[in-house]
Amino acid sequence: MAMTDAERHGMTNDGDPLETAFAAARVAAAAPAPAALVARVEADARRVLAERVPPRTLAGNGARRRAGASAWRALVAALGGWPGIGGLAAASATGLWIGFAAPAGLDVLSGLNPTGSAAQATLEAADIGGGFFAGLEEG
Amino acid sequence: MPAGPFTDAAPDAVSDAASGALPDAEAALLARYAAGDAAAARDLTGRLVPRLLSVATRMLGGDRAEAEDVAQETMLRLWRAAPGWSPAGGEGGARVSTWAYRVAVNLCTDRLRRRGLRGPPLEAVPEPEDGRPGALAGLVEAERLAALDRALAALPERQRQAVVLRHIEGLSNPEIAGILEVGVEAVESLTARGKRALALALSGRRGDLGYGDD
Repeated sequence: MAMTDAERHGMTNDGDPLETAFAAARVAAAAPAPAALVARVEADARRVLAERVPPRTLAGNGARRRAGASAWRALVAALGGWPGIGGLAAASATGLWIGFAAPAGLDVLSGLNPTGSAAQATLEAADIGGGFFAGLEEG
Repeated sequence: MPAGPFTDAAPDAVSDAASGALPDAEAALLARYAAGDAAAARDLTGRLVPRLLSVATRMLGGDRAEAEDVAQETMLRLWRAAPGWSPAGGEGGARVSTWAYRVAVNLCTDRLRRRGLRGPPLEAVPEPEDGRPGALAGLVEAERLAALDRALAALPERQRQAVVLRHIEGLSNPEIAGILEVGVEAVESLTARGKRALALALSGRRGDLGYGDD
């Protein structure tokens, strides 16, 4: 049960030493705190406020994120979506491999025509007897 | 600060709703402080620090310097907790004063346990220097107060906490239950046993303390 005002001010102690002592203690407890302590506590309050990093504005952050996201989406769409990007990546990796490993890699093709170069073998295989225009001259 | 047996990091589910649905003016001040109002911090300091200092001084057996440290540390934790304090109360619905008392009591308990003592004995009150009634009455009153503080320092810690919060700070039993994180019945038992022990301690000095001449 909460203390009554009379009890708080020791007006009902009837000479009871304990209640009289409690009343004196309550008076002493109500005294203001030392000024130096108050100053330190208030300084702590100001310091804690100052230490809080102000949040960036939501509009600024969101606008930058939205601009970046739409540019990226446009690029992905231009390349044919993620499958297109995957194919582009695979083709790029293959080309890079061919470029660095060309002598060893292209030996596979020279094995198809042991008597000549790979290009000559290709032309002979494609020969249609007299050239492309030969058939057109026959009337 | 090493963790004591009582957590003070945040108010828990033991609320002091039973103490009444009075609006928590201190919570409103804390919200204004969190929004950057330094004047609200001054108000809160004026409301809470004297009470925290009073409780801590008695918990620490009269060590005023250490009690000031406890009061300052308690308020520092409150400033840091301010942004997360909801208008409905701290976590678990605790009022600001309940939370602050709890932190201060726990800090005192931690310090006492590090010290390994219940608290240092109080220094004796000096004998009166002259027979002037005013001076004598004042010193007799001071001696009564010192005798009470000595008797409080001799109590078991939990009884001392309950008696100080009830009979000096004037808090209700539900509020004290929230601070000490025990049930209301436990508070009633602690205060009853504490008062009996104090009464015995003071009754033996009745004549010395001027009782019976009033």
